[in-house]
Amino acid sequence: MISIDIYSRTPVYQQIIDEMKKEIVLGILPPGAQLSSVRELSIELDINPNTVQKAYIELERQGLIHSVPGKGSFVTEDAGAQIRRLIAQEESERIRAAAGHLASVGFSEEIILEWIHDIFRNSKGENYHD
Amino acid sequence: MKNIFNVKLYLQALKKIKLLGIACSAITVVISMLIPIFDLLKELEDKRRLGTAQFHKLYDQANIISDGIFSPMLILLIIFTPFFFFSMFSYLNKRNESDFYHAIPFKRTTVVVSFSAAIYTWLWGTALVSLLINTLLWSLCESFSFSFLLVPKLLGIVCFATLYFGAFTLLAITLTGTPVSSSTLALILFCLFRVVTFFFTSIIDNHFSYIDLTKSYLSIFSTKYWFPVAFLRGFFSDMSVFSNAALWIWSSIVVIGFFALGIHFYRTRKSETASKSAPSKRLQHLYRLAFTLPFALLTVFMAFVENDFSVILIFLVLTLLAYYLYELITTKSIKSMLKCTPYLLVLAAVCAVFSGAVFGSFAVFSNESTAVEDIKEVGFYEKRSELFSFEDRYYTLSYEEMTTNDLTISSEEARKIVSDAWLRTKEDSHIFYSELYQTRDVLIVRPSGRSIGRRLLFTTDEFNRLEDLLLSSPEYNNAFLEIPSEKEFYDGSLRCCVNDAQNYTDFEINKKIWNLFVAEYNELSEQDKILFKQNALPDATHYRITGRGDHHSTAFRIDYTVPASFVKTIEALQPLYEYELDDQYTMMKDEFERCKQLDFKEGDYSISIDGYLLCNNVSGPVSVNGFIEPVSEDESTRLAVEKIIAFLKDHLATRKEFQNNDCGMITLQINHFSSDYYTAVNIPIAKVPYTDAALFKETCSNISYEKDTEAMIFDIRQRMKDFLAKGKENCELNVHFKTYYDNNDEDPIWFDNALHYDGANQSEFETLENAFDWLDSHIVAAYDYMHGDYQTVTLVLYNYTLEIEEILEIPIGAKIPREDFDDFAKRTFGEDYNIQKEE
Amino acid sequence: MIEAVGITKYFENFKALNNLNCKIPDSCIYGLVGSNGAGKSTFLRLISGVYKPDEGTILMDGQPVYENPDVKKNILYVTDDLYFLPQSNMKRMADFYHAIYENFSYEKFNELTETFKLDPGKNFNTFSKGMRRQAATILALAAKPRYLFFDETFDGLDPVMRNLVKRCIYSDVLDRKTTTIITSHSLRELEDVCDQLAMLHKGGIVFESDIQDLKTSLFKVQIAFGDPFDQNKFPDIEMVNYSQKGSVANIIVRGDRDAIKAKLRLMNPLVLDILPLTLEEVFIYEMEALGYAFKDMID
Repeated sequence: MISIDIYSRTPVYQQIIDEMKKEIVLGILPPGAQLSSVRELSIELDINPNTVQKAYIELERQGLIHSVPGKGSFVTEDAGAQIRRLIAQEESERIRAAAGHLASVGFSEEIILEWIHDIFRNSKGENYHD
Repeated sequence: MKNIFNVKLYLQALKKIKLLGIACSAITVVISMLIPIFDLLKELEDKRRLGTAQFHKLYDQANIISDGIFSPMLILLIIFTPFFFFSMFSYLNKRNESDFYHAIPFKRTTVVVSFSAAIYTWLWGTALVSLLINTLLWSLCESFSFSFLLVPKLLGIVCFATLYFGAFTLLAITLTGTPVSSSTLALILFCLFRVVTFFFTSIIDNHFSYIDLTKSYLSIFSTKYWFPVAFLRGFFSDMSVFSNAALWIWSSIVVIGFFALGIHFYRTRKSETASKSAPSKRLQHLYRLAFTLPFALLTVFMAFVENDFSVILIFLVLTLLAYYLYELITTKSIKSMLKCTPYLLVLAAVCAVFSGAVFGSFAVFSNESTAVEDIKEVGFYEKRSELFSFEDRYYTLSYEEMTTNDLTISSEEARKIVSDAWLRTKEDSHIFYSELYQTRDVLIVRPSGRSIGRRLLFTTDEFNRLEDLLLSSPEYNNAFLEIPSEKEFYDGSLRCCVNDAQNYTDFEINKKIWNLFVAEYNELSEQDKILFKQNALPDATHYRITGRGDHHSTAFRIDYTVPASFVKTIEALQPLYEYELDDQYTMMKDEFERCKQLDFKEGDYSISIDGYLLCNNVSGPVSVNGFIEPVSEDESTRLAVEKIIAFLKDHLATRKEFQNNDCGMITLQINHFSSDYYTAVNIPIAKVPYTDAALFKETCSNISYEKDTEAMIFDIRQRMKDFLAKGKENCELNVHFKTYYDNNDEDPIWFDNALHYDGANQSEFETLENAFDWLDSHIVAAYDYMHGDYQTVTLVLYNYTLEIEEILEIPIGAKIPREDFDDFAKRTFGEDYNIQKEE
Repeated sequence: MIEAVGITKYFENFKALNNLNCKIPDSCIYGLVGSNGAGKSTFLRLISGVYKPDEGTILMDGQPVYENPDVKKNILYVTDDLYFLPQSNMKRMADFYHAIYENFSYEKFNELTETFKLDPGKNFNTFSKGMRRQAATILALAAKPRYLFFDETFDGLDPVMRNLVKRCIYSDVLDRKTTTIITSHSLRELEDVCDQLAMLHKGGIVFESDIQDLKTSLFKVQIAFGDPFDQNKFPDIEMVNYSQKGSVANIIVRGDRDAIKAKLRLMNPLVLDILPLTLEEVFIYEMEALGYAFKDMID
């Protein structure tokens, strides 16, 4: 179940979106899976249904879910792939920026690659996502 | 309909004022119920004490209402009406409550109509229940009888009255935001107009007492169409007002108009009016002005009427007080109270306009033309009192007065008489107090068709001539000679009576007698009819028919004496009376017997005597009254009582004399405390000689007349006897009778005649003897003598033969009717006895 | 939808609302903030048809409200100054409401009274102020309105009750797309319930925004440099407020957080912290940005 913090600096709807995305990409919500209804989620999380609605509308706009009137909202087929693509885009940008930064202050390519290998070696068995 | 009334809202409204509604119903029904219960109990008590219900109350249709027996219900409901409105609409005085009721999903019109309907459901329901309970209770009374058709009529009037008073209250509530200001505004709306017209007419009345404003100007100065006055009059005095269509039309216009305004202002009302004394500052000024206006006009009235400046000043101060207090109390702010000072100018301006109108009227009335050319028609009318007055109860118009009211003639002579009288009245109001003139209300129609009313002074001749002229007009004549049909009488009001004893026989029988009476009346010649109507028919019997009724919404009464020539009527009446009079006579005798058995030696008692005696040698009644209470050490009271009882016992009239009204009547009231006995009984007394009557009168007055007076009178009598005795044989006698005769209401006369006896002529002596007898038997009672209530006949007695000369001053009773004295004079001195009238 | 256009309302000579414009969509939970006397109650009374606007129009779903029972029957307004029928209890009021509002449901009423643990038979005289508020709320909710107005009702409700009411409102939003307006003095009361927030000041709505957007619109940057600097160091950053003490500057910034963070990082500051603002702080700065001194607006 997703959890949100209403007092966080991140808007609630954004938190919902992020959580949903996480569940989709981790396979907890496989393609075609039905999401909790707006009502259910609103009651469960004790938040304004409009907020939930807003989140779902945005997810739909991003093509990650589609709503069938009367039935509910479902994960689209390529939602996972889409999200992965997005993450890949974002993170690769970040790696590029980080590597660039390290390089500009004198770290060599070998050391940077070493650190990356270390990460994978040490986190075997652990979750990749954090 | 959907926009005007909502059932669910109405039901909720009923519940909302449930407490007040129940209280109103309970109080009204219970208190109103007390009256028939009291009547029932009284009837039971009468039955127990006397065997039958002695007092048969047969209410006629008019009496029921105007006797006020429904008054508690009416008054209570009218009092409750504003309370209901204040309670139901109290939310308009608080902001948050007002907003609540404006938030509910109904149009404002729906709310106010539904709420008002709920109020009237409670009020009218209470009226209906109370009426039904009361009529049910009265139907259990044997001695009570009225038509149940009266109930819807009464209900309608009462309901309308609640509507009337409710309309003002509602309008006032919607136009203000506090209970205090609502109440005062309701009062203002209710009567401001009338207050203004009242002051106006009062000032005019004071200045021109002969002018009757109510007769013209569309009756706006008359309160006869003002519902509250008409309502009070109808319920306490004269029910005919309720038959007047104009009253209902005007009042309905007022009710509908004010309710419409109330609904309109409820709709447009702004929330911020709640808890404020007026919706806007301007209206507050207006309300304050309206409230103070009666006080200001009162001051103006005083200024016109009073000369004493200090009195006017007092009222001026009162006005200012009212002005400022209103502001202070309604706004609870000293600041606003001070700030309203400049607006006093507006008040002053209004008073100035009012005064201007008054002065204008003065000018108009002072200059009004009394010329014959400006008078088209004249007639008489009866001016009725404007405000409710008890006089009206006993002063219902006679049928003749009513039918001839407002009838006019246009004869030149009549108009001239009126014109002269008018000029006289107008020029000199002092003569109102003179005995030479009498006043009458005259209707004058101008050539333009406008009618005005003036109370004019006529000499007796003028008045009589005018009456004759009126009678000679066929229209007037016919109206005057009209006689009511049986339908016009209120149920049960037709009564036949003899000697003031009323009968309580069947209405149907009375109606039959009436019809006989009418038939015989119609057979009279016109001359006789006129005489009859003027109560001048010579053959009057002591049978009378009375009744009250309603002719074209004016009440009338009749009181006709049945002439002896109406044989059929009398034939029908007689049997009724025999029984009734018998009954009465027996009752009286029985009661009197009981009185005689009381013990007046010991005990605490008081006796009151009131009535009159008839004398067989004097044509008028001798009034008797007195009050006796025992004085402990004094035997004289007991003796007096014994004398009185003895007198009454010895002179009881016979049944026949009583029937023929040929007797005196003494009402004896005895309060015998020690035996707890109280009675009031009418005792018919046969005719007695004047001296006995005088003596009785004196005994009743319980004054121990001075021995001297007794002695003096004895002495006079003795000397008269002596003179006659001495002079009977062979003496020449001359007696000079001198007196200044003043019967208290006639022109005083000097009387100076002589009788002569030559000593032998028997008839001359007899004349003298008779004269002395008459004087002897008319000697005044000591009581009257003590009070100077006598006149003196001076006798100068000459006995030439024995050379005796004597002067006697004989006091005879002052109240001896003039005819008796003239009769005596004629008999004694012949037709041309010597009388000198005072110049 | 509630649409108020050009609303002006006078009380005698006092202009309570001045050319107010406002659009509240269906199922919105709209929070209205303002100091005492700002006109919150007046506004609510106007849109519930109690007052008539002196100028302008108010339409609910395209229909005018004033004197329109068909529209008003869907509006329930819980005032701050509560009114109950005298000497009554909840049952009596329910009876009244049942007659007045055709959608009133006894079932829901009973359910709510149980949930809130109030005795419908007890006289209101025995209720505490908070209980009265709850009672009024229950009655309003039981009438199943499409428009629900709470005038400072939440102020002073205890957290448990508050939560219950919140859930009821949410439920109504889901079931009937109920539009709710809640007024309050304080933002904290509204923060977790409303999705729209507006500020009423001097007779008009001066600020209106989605609450969530509000939270992200501004953030605080704490930055320090070795060398002396001033405001002008940051020319292409949209700043709402700037204060500096010595070498540390506190900047309230509007814009995309990450982008600005990256930009600032390029300047090589000694200290760089991006801090969130509380809703109130955001509000205050937004007001300042609009030119209003916050201290005369909120208690």
